Amino acid sequence: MMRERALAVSRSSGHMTMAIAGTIVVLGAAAAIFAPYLAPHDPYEVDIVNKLQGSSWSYPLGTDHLGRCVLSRLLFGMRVSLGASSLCIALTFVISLVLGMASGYVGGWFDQLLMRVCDVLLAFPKLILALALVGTLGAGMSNLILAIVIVQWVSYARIIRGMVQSLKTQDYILAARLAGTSHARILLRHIAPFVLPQMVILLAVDLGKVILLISEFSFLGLGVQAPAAEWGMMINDSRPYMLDHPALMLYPGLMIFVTVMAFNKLGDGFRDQLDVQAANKGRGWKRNGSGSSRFIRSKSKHSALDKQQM
Amino acid sequence: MAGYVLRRLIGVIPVLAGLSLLSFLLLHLVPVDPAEAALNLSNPGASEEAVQALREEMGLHEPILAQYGTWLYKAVQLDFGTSLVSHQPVGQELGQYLPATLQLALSALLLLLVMSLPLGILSAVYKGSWLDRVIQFIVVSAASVPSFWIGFLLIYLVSMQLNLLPLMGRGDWTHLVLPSSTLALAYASPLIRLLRTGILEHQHQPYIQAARLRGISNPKRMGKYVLKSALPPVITALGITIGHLLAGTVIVESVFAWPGVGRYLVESVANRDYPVIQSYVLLMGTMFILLNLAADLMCAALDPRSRLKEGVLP
Amino acid sequence: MKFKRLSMTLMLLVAMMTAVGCVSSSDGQPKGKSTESKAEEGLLTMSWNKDIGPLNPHLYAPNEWFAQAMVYESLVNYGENGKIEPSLAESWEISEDGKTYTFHLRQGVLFSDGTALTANQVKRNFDAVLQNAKRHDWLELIAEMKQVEVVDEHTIKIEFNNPYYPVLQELSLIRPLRILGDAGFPEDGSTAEQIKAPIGTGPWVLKAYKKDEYALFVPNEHYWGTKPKLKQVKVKVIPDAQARVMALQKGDIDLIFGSGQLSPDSFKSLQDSGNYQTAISSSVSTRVLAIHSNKGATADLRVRQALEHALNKQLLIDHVFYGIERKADTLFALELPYSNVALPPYDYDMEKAKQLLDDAGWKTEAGQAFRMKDGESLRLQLAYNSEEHVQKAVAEFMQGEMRKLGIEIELIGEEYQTHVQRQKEGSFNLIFSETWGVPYDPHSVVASMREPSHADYQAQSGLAMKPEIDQWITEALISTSEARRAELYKQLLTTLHEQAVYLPISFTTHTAVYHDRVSKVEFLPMQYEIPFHSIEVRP
Repeated sequence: MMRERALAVSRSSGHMTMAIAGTIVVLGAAAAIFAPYLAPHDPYEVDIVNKLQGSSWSYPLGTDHLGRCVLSRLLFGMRVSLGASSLCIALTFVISLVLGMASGYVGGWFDQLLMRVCDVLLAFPKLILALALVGTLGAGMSNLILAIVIVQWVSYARIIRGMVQSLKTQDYILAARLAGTSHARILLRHIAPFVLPQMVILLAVDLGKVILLISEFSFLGLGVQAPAAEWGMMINDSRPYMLDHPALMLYPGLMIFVTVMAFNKLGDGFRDQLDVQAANKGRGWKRNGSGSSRFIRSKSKHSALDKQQM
Repeated sequence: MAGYVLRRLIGVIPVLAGLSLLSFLLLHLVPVDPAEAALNLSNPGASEEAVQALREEMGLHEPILAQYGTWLYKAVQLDFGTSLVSHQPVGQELGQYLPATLQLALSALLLLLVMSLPLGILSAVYKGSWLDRVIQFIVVSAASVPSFWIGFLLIYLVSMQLNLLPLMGRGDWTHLVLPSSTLALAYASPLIRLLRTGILEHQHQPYIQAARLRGISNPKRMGKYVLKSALPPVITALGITIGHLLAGTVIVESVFAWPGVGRYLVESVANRDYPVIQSYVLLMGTMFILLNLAADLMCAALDPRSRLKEGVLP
Repeated sequence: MKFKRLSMTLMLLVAMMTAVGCVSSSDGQPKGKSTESKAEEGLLTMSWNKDIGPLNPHLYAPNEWFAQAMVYESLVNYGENGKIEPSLAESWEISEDGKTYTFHLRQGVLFSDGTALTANQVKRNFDAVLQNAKRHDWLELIAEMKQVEVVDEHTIKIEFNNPYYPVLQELSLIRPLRILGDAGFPEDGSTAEQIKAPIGTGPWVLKAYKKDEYALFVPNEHYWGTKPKLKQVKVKVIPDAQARVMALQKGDIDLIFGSGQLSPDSFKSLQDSGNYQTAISSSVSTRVLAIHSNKGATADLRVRQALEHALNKQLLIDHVFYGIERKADTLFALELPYSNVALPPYDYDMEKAKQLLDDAGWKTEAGQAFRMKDGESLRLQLAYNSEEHVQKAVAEFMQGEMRKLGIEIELIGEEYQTHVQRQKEGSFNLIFSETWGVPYDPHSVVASMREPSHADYQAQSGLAMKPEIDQWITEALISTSEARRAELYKQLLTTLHEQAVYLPISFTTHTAVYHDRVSKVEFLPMQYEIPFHSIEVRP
């Protein structure tokens, strides 16, 4: 009884947090889209005479070491972070969906091969693998996105494979097979609808992590190249001025923090809801062996460790 | 138990083989010919014959599998080739930088344990209280903050404003405090979370309830029964975490100018020193796999049930 | 029972970790007073951005100049105003035809291990360098050197192919012709890869060293010259410029010295604080951008000239350099030998730059951010050394300024090695370069313009008159007529200026910032040396 009430309380506070996080994400996305209209200045306009200024009416957050407007650069940085991370996630989604479904549905040697590849790719920290890939391919945003996708797709493909494998043996799929439904139709009509929503949430949850990863690479000078405005790079650029102008370092860091935090909170909330839904539906699923929520949950345990993998 | 150990040991072999293949293939991703890359650094504008000669010398004309064999044979003997920049053996250079990185990672690990064990237990025991919420907030924040930024904030506040600790570089133990805290903080939240969920799950197990009914006191119940059951997943996670701590040094070493393999890697990436990148991946991957193996074996020793997870018994 | 096993395992784990932790932390660092021992008498702690390297006197990076100069000496010294002074050679004679030099070695000079300096040892060093001649192809002296002959125990004769005029200047260089002791040579006698031990005749000896952390030098007790006042010099490796500043502020180090060790912003902020002694040297070399005359849009002379006119140097000098570096309009400072040639500077003139670009066919088009020609956008690569704060700042300024002109600048920031590599390969439109300062300027710099593995050669490779340029240089270096040489230099410098293959930016200087306890910090004629012999410290 007590526990239930505590749960109810925590759930309502959870809704609150989710609402705040959602608002931040929506505002952020809007800022990214409308950055050219919102920014008070051209983020690339160099004005060396006005460098390292404090905040003023014209420059609300002051100027950087080249006299560029910090606020405008932060706004445009939102574009890079959200844009690049969304692109990463979208590519990861497509690749892991195709490979995961194929592997789970077809099975056989293809499945074996893919799983061995997964074993190897999961055998070491993603940060290392991504670094090695960017290191060999060369620094730059497109190579970075490529590297992130290469290290990202594995764990999702695995989850999808597991889901497909268990769905495949469900009675209604077997029945559909017997009725002569084609494989493509089964995949599209009977399997994809179960897999897709879960995947969308899982990937959305990881958006924050990808933003962090991109900023880390830009900090190391391996991501976005100058003069593009990117938060990680802005922090790196502000290093030489840390002592006299600490604010230059503070703003972009806060931007990363708030954005990633919002995505993480949102992700946690989605996951909890998914768990609750699964618990409500639980009985029906469990009879048939295993439900997709189990995979999500096992993934969520795994994903507790994911931040480290990045 | 012996059977389990053997199975796990054998299971590692294909993964190690795959890892070595992957590191080997990395060098073949390079947009330029490896022989040309090597030659350009010492002698640009070299003749076509010189490039050909070096290709022969490097064995690049052989079939790729043979190249892999030769490379692996050498790598097993700890011969990782020569750095394109310093012309020193890569193994030797990595060896020089490795102690600094291990020192950083291990002290971060100690800090991590000191930090996350009490926080995880407290937040589980006082679940739902303000203390739990504060801890939860810290956990989510730590997972959302870029570690390099935290590093700079610490440098600015602790080193520069308060003048308490040395700024950067490696020296006596005081130099270790800031970098290892930064590193530990970056990886604390998953561990705290895991511990909390673990304890909460086990708290309501029948045997714990039975212990409560038998009147076993709260702290004892906590220590003897709950914690013990909640620990194995944490140990597994620790095995992974040590690996990640080692990887995370790449960022932290760059922030604190710590002379370890991480910074060496970043430098080599900037200098396009491919043999170094390749060896680093091999080294870190191997360490990571072995640490995971060690953690699994330790868990198996603690909790016989986990030996069954391999799916040998139904 | 099980609980026992658990606690045992845990204890074992902790014990293991502590053990490893102890082992890894106990290596290196001498116990006891390990780091800041300010109280230690006569100790000067200086920061440097990188490791001093293996101290091989016959090789280049990663060996650091100043450290090589502390340990090793050459036959002659480069003194004030370019005067050549005796060093290991007490005196010398030059033959009538200018092709044979005979050096008389100083008697009683000992290496730091106590062995004596002999003519044989000098020859051994020269031979080792000649064996590796390919590595030194930038240095005309090596190419001109025919043979080295031992006359007697303290006399050595060097024969040259041509009457090469800057022999003595180049013998005074910090590398590659300084003298290594017998015990420093590897078994096979070749120093091309490594040496066995850093044994020289110089005033300092390396006492302790931990790669990428620090190097500790103490005076060489066998040193023949005036012994330094300092008892110890500790060089701390601090790669990050801001960290060097903070280390100085915290008192971890006493001195920051050199070029590029401090950003102009930091220098100004330290100077303004009034808590430190600061000094700026006179100009040491020229900071230029080399413009590739055979690559992409910069192959067009008009584009190169437009770039020359488009850079507002005065703004850079005032707001990036804060006057620490003077504005440069020529490749070499006018006071250098043969360099006082009247050349009309390219003034800052945006309109003219625009006109030149229009003439070259690069037009602004509606809806395009950058100028276009034949459907291609005007995009230039500008490469800089990412370790050099100033280069980055200038590059970013340039990027912003050129954008206003409709030129897109792609910045390529790389570490030193890769940057040098790019200079050699010529894969750039614009690249940062510096002349080498005395005693190299101007002759060694112009000599190297003939080497394909130099940025200068690459930049000039598109000029129609490049073969003539190389001929003028060769003739100037071995001409025995002073007037002819001056004329050739004039021809060369005028052509390079007119063809706009260099965009001179500023004359670099060295800066020094130090605590009050340090005194007698002066700047030496050779830019890479640090005046440890004169510096004094109060406890």
